[in-house]
Parts: sequence; structure tokens; C-alpha cells
Amino acid sequence: MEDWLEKIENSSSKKELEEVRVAIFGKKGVLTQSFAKMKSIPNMEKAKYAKDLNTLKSNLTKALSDKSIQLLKQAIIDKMKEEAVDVSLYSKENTRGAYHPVMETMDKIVSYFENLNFSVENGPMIEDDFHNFEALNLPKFHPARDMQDTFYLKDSMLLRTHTSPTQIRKMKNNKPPIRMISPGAVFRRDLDLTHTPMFHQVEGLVVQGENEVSFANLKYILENFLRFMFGDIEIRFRPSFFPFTEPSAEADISCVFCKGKGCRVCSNTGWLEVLGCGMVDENVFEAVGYKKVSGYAFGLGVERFAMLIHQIPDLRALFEGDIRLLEQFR
Amino acid sequence: MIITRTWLEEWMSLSNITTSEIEKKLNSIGLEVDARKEYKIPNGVVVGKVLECIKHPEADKLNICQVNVGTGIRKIICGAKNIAKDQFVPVAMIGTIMPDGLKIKPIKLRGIDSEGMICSSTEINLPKLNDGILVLDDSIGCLELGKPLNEYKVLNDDVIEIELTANRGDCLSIYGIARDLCASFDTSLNDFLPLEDSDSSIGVGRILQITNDSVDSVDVQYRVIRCDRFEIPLKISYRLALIDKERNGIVDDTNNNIESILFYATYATGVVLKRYSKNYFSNDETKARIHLKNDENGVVNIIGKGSKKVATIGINQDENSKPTNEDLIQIVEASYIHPDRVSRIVYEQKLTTDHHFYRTSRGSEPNLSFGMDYFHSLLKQYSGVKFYAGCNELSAVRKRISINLNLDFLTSFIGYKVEATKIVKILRNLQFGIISSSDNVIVLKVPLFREDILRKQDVAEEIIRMIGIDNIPSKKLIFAENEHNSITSKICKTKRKLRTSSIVNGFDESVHFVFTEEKKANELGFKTIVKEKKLLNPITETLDTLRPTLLLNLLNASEANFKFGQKTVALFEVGSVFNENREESQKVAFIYSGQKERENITNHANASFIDLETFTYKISSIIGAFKLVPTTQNNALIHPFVNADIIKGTKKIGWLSKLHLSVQNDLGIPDTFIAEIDFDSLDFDLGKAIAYSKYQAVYRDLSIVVEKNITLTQIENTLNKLDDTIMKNFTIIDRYTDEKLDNKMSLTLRFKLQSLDKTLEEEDINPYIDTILAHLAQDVNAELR
Repeated sequence: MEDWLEKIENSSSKKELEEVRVAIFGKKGVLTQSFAKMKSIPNMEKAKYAKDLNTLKSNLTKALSDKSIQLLKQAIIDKMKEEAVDVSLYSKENTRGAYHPVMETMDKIVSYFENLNFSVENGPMIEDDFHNFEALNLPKFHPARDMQDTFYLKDSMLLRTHTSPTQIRKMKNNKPPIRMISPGAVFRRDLDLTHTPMFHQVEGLVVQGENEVSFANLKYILENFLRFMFGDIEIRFRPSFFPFTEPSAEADISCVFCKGKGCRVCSNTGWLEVLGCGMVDENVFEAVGYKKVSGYAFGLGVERFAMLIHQIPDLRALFEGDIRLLEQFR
Repeated sequence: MIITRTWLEEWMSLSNITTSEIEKKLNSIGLEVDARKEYKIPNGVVVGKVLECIKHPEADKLNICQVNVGTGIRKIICGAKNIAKDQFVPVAMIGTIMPDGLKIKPIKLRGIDSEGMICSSTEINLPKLNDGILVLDDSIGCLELGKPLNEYKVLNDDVIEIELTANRGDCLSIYGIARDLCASFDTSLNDFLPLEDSDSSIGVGRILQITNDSVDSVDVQYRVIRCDRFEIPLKISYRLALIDKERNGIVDDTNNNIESILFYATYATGVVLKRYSKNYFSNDETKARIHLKNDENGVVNIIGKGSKKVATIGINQDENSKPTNEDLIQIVEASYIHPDRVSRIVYEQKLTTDHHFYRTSRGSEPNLSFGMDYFHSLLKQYSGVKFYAGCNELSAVRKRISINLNLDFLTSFIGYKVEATKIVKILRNLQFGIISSSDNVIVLKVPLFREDILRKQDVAEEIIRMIGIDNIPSKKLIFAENEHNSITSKICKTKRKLRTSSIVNGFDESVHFVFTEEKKANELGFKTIVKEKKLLNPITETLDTLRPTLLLNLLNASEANFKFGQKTVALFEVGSVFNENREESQKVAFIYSGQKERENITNHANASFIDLETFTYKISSIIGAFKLVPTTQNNALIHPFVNADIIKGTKKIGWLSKLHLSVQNDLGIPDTFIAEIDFDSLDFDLGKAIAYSKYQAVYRDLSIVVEKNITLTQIENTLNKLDDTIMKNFTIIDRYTDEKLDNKMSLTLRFKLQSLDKTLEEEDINPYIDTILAHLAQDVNAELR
């Protein structure tokens, strides 16, 4: 009978195993016949014979069942083997698109200020002289208007030259305290390597009660903001001039390209100018009817931030939907 | 504003201060340094004197010079046209390494030895001053033969270019910057000592008479000079070359030397100086008469002979009234007018201005005698130009602004306490007058040259400037909490979600100018801003209106990208567009051009092009479910047979189309699909859950035959009338036509049926399907296939 166990073990398919099973357990199977012989076994030996036979039966049954499971598993493996592929053929390049570097930089800027309880505000691109200039302490004859070459429209409206008019609208429609930023596109009539007629700004404004907001507060938030954007950098402030703030300042960061050693990008100065800021000019508060308040404002060019963060060499490439540039940010 | 180190030294001592320290200080006091350049003449270039200069026998253009170089006499061949006997010249001795790396060696030129080189300014690292060799004179210091030329500080100067802000007219001069630097370095300013006024025994009154009609808004001072001959000294022409950028086209010193000196004096002192020809004010050889007259605009005109207007103070001057080299007697005018006044009048009256207006509108130096004396000293120092004794002047009464500075205010404004004694010191250094100073209030008077300082905040800025912002410790603001969820905040978040979905679906975000070409937009059937509201000063002809659609820019981008060899261009943009009435709205637009996939192993290198199914699948992955109906939109981009309005719910939110073949051909791009959707119609709000069934759904297919022109919309309308508690949805899974069907088609609809209450049995399903068929038969003449 040992050879039957071997036959079960050697079966290489379900069909073969079935044949073996029939040869053992079938009506004419060896085991069935052995049981049939029981009648002719002398009583004395009968008990032992039956016991041996049952043991054999149970061994064979187990062997059959084990082999069957083994064959089933093998069949699954074999089937899967047919599906084998060279997975390296399916390595994928990125099939996602990319956020535009300027928009992504703007998102990052906005997220910083949102976390500090600033509201996000927007205004129209087409503005009037009052909101864009007059209310911001830029009377028509002011020499500082030269700084902003303006696009004019035939009905004496204009394309906003900065996002600051949003501040005026916000202040005219709300009472202090105000904490707001205004991200958006602005326009100046200028086109060369470093200027485009449209670019993006984020403007910030904080107004609270009299004597509450100080220049040192402005410095604090901007220092932290610049480190959030650019990481481990040196920051310096220089007094400057903007008609809508007094005092005014500009903030420089140590050059992100040469770490302040001096290179082409920073004109060998080691510093990069990144934003303008100041205490809101009294004339601006007057223009919106605020009394007994204090506040600061700041503004920055998003493209400049994006170019520094992503190390993009040419400003104009940002506005041409050029996939050679965009795909790098996927 | 360009300044030089040695020029600053005319007013301040810099012996213990390096140029780098000056640069750092300028930045910290708000005079931003743009660039810095150091001029250094190479070692081995010395002062020489040409003792003899004769023509080279073998070369017309060469001269043989005998040059005394202190240590001896050298024979040097020189080709410059302007070389002459007795000139002092820079000589590069044998062994000198020139800035271009060339080493000076003894050479033979046409058979004659040359032992050195006589140099031009550019050859020794200086800016270009003239054609030919540089001729030296005593103005740069005593000329000693053989003395190295790099020991002459004036020629080896450090030049700093400052980007001056519009409020600092007081720093539009070398003197003005020296004054601010002295205040910040806490050192004293060297006062300029006027010359004794005795060039001529003849008083100015003998030759010039000034009259006026109670003019009280300007300061003027007149002097008269007599010029026989004048040569411009090297120090001045050299410095004028260093600041060449600042006088671009203003003064041409090759023709008019005194005009150059006048410019130089104005640049040095900040006082506006002009010259007039005497002939403009006199009929004969005797007295010139100048009449100052208020005109109706509020300006002051200078009236000459025949009541002719010759100039307007601070604004312009009749070009012909400027003296020429033939004018022996010339009138020099120094003037001052308040910058706000002059800029307001010029703006309101649209007056033409000359180059001085830049200075007068920002604030020129009001100390007129200072400018006039400086000019006088220059002429006297270097020439024989004579001044008539005395001057004619007229001064407006101007009050210095007084400001009460409350120190508590100052502390809370800066956020940092500055000691009162320190404040007083800073203000004194800045030439403020201190009227009184108590524990808490300083009363001060603003110097006349600081028209920009009007209020206590302006004074605070001066304090901050002088302390240095970097020395003020930064401080957290205790802020007032407020509700700050604005509509814009919400829009920003919606935009972010939309942009993220677009990116996940393989579109690159793009940003374009809101400008586009009006002609092209109109040709393509888009209406642009009406004439009455259009852009007046476009930057180029191709960007002359505001875009009515985002798609034109996207199509241009697609075209450009295919030129660079891209095979797929999938772009989107969220941005503003403007209708005819110039109303701004937000759109999101998509463009997909070219292959819908890359060549790969699965498609056996036959990548197929974008098709309607793929495009709409992508768009729905971004904006959610929508229905399409043939578009009502009308423009030349739209494919006449593959186009649709996008309907969400019952609202049209945009349109999509295959790109019209002729536009596609013009752009030279492959198959392209476009879509433009109203941003405001998109909703990413939080949804609400509704009840769903726990029983199994069943699917039933129904094949019907209908007329070919029946649209899905018609079938939908019919089915929407039915009981929707059982039918969850249906889709068309097959559409079939053949000759036998003639003008009919066969459609197979698959219904998903499910009840909230129970598992549907055949006896529920069959009658329902029958109802469907009955309705379809009635509405669209459907027959069971």
C-alpha cells in the first residue's frame, strides 16, 4: 500500500489525482476491495485487519486532501505566472500637472498670514484715481507717481498699479481692528528683462487703536514671515519712502544664491531687496475717515519671491505657459 | 545720484572711514546704494612732461616725444592727435602691467625705439574723457614729475551710486549727502567759506537792475560774470565723466565749458543755477533789466526786453536765452521755489519743463549764496572769469515748520524707548532747531532744506533712520482677535481645490497677461471693450485690450509649446476676463492639444489623440458631473459639429468644444479641445447626505429603435418624469445604425433599479420596464427592438 501514498504524492495534476483516488476509493478501488475482503477474514484477525485498514484509509484520505490543496495552490501560482511582466516597463513619469510657481508662492504667502488671523481681501483690477492714488497720499502732481507708470482707460479709470486700493476699500467699509492681506495682479507699463506689464503683489494692513501698533511690531512679523518663506537667512531693514507710509522701510534678505558673499543676482551686494513696508501715513487714515488709530502696512512682489524661491532666471517665461518651465514643478 | 569719495571730502573728513563703511551707513540711513565702483590707476603709471614732440620720419600719424618722467628723459612714440609739447601726461613706464594684462616693454616702432607709453584715460582704467591721450593739470593736485599717478586721490576715486527716494530732494547733491552722512556719523560738516567778493571794482548794480511786482513765492539771486576765456580743469571734467549718467543729454561740455561748471556747481551744492545772455535783458550796451512778474498761474516769470517772457522760476527757460561762448557778459541766477508748489502748478497747467524741474520738484537747496559762492570759487580757482561785485537778490519770507514731539508718542510709535538726550543730539545733527526740551515734549524747528518733514511721524522717521532700523528690537503685537472669514478667503479656498483637481488630472497651471490683441479677438468672434472705455496707452499693439476670454492666451501657449517639440499640451488658467462693458468676471479655462497619452508599450507607439470622451472625462473629474447640450456660444474657435454647453443642475456654467479645424491649422497644432467655465458657478461647498438603500440593486438593459435625430436629452426628459424611487440612474451603453434601420437607430439603455424598502422582484421590475417603454413610445416614438 505504500506505493499508493507515493502515487498520490507524484500526481502532477488534478486529473491524475482523481484517477489515483478512483483507483483507491472507487467501487473497484483497492481499498474498497480490501474492505470487501473483511468477510473472509477469520474472526481472530478481523479486529486487527479492520484497524489497519482504517488507519490506511485515513492516511490515504489525508494524503489525497493535502495533495489536492497543494495542487490547487500550484494552479493559482501557475495562472499568475502567466501574468508575469517586466514591471520596469511600467515605471511612470509624472502624469500630474503643476501648480504655477507664482500661484504656489502666493498660496504659501497667504497661508502664513491666514494663520495669524489675517483676512484675505480682493478688489477690482480696474480702479479709479481716488482709490489707487489720491487716498494713498499720492496727489496728482506728486513726483512719486513717476515710480508707477500707469495704464489708463479712456473713461479716466486705470488698471491698478498696486494692491493697495484694496486696503482703502476695506477701511472705508469696516471699522478697526483690521488685519488683512490682499493678493492679486497689478499693472505697470513696463516690459523688459526684469519687468512685465502685469505682475502679482500681496499687500498687508494692520490697524488697531491709537498707540497700539508700533514699528517694532511691523519688524517682528516681517522677520518671521521672511524666515517662513526663505528659511535661514539674514534680514536687514533700510529706511525708504512710500507716499502711503511714514516712516517707510525696505527689507533685504541675504542673497539666497551666494549666501551673502556677492554674486551677479545680488549685484555683488550680498543682499536682495524683497519688500516695502511702513507705518500707515496719517493722510491715508484721514482719507478713509479713521481717527485715533495706529497701523502698519507692507507689500511685496510675488514674482520676485517665486524667482528667488524657485531660482527662475527669466521673469517673462512665467507668463507664457511654457511647459519646459512648468513641468519642472510637477 | 552718483557721489564720489573725494568729492564728499570737500565737506567732511573721511580719514577714519572706509568706503565700505560709507556704503553701509548710506543704506542704513535710507540712501540705498545701487552700485559701487573703485577707480585705481595701475602701478608704474607716472606724471611725465612732453619736452619735445616731432613727427616720426616714417609714419605720418606717429610722433617722437621726449618725455621727462622725473627719473630721466624717455623717448616715447605716441600716435595720439592731441599730443603737444609742454603737456603733462600719464606715462606707463617699462614693466607696467596695464589693466588689460599687457606688460609695457621697450619696442621699436617703424625703426625708432619707444621706452614707455603715453596713455589715454581708458588705458589706465578711468572713464573716457576725450579722444587721444589724457592731459594732466594742477587741479588734481601739484604735478610732480615721476610721481605715481595712483597717488592722486581725485583720479583714484571710489564712486557710489545711490537710488534716491522721491522725498529726499535735499540729498540731490554731493553736499546734501555729506550733510546727512555727517549727521549719522556724528561728525561736523566743513562749512564752505565764501570768497572775498572783489573780483572787480565795478558793482553789479552798474550793469543789472532787478524789479518785481511784489513777488513773494520764490527766492532768487543774480550775479554777473565777464568771461574772456575758460578752460575746464581736469578735476571737473573727470568728475563730470564719473557722473556722466546723471547729465545724459543735459549739458554738452565740448561746446560750452561754463555751462558744464554751472552744472557741476548745481550737482555739488543742490542750488539751481542758470545763466542768461545779457542781450535778452538790454537793448543796448548798458544796463540789463530783469523784471520778475507773478503770472496768473501762481508762478513767477522772468521778463526781458520787449516784455518777453524769458523763463519761469523752477520750471523752464527759453533755450535761446542761454549765453553762447561769444557772450562776454553773462547773468547767473540762483533760484528756489517750494517743491509742492512747483509740481502742483506744472501738473495743473501742463507746463513744459527743463532738466532742473527734476530738482525743483523734489526740493532744491534753498541756501542760494552757498551755490553761487561755490560756482564763483570754481571759476576763480581755475580761470580768469570775473564776477562783478555784489549781487541782486530777492527772498521770500518763509517760516520754518515747528513740530511738538511728544516722547510717549514716539516710544509707542517706534515700539522702543530712545533717550531724550539722544533724540536731541540726533535732531541737532540733522540741523533741526531745538526750541525747548522738557521731560516729555521737544519743540523743534525743521531746517528749510527738509520740505519733506511736516509732522511728528516724519520726525520719528528721522530718529529711526539715525538709530538704524536694525538696532530697534522687534516686538510681538498683541492683536485684537476678529472674525476674518471674508468672501475672498472662501474664493481662495475654492480656487485652491479647483486648481488641485486640475493638476491631479494632468493640466499644468498657467498665468497669462490679462492683455490681448483686440483685432485678433474680434476676428475670432469675441467682443472686446467698447471704444468709450478702452485702454489708452497699451504697451504694445498686440496687447491693446483686456481679454474677453482666457482661451486666446492658452491657444498661443499651445502653439508655442508645439514649436518647442511638445507632444501634449494640457493647460488651465483661473483668471479675470472682461466683457464689452469692461465688467470683470472670473473664469477657468482648459486646453488639451495633441496626444492623450505617451507612446508606450501598451499602445505600441501609436498614441492616440485627445478625443471628446477623454476630454469630458477629465473635465468631469475636475468639476464633477455635468450634462452637455449643443452650444449656443458663437465664436470662431468652436467646432461646428463637436461643441457643447456645460450644464450643471439646470444652469449653464460654460462651454466646451473641439477646436475649429481652420484655427487648428492656422496655429499648426494637432487635435485640440477647449473649455471655458464661469468660476463663480463652481461649488465646492460641503454636501448633505441622503438616504441610501440597503437592498441589492438590479440592472436591466432595454434596446429600442428611434429616429436618428432623437437626442439623449429628449430621452432623459421622458425618463425624468418616471418614479425615481426605483430608478437610480440609466446610461446609454450602445448606439447602432445600419442600412436596414434606414433613418432610425437602435439604442441600448441600461437601468439601475433599486428600492429603499425591499429587494426588487421580477413582478416589480417588469411592469416598471413596461412603463418606461410606454413613455418612450409616446414621447419619442420608440419601439422595442
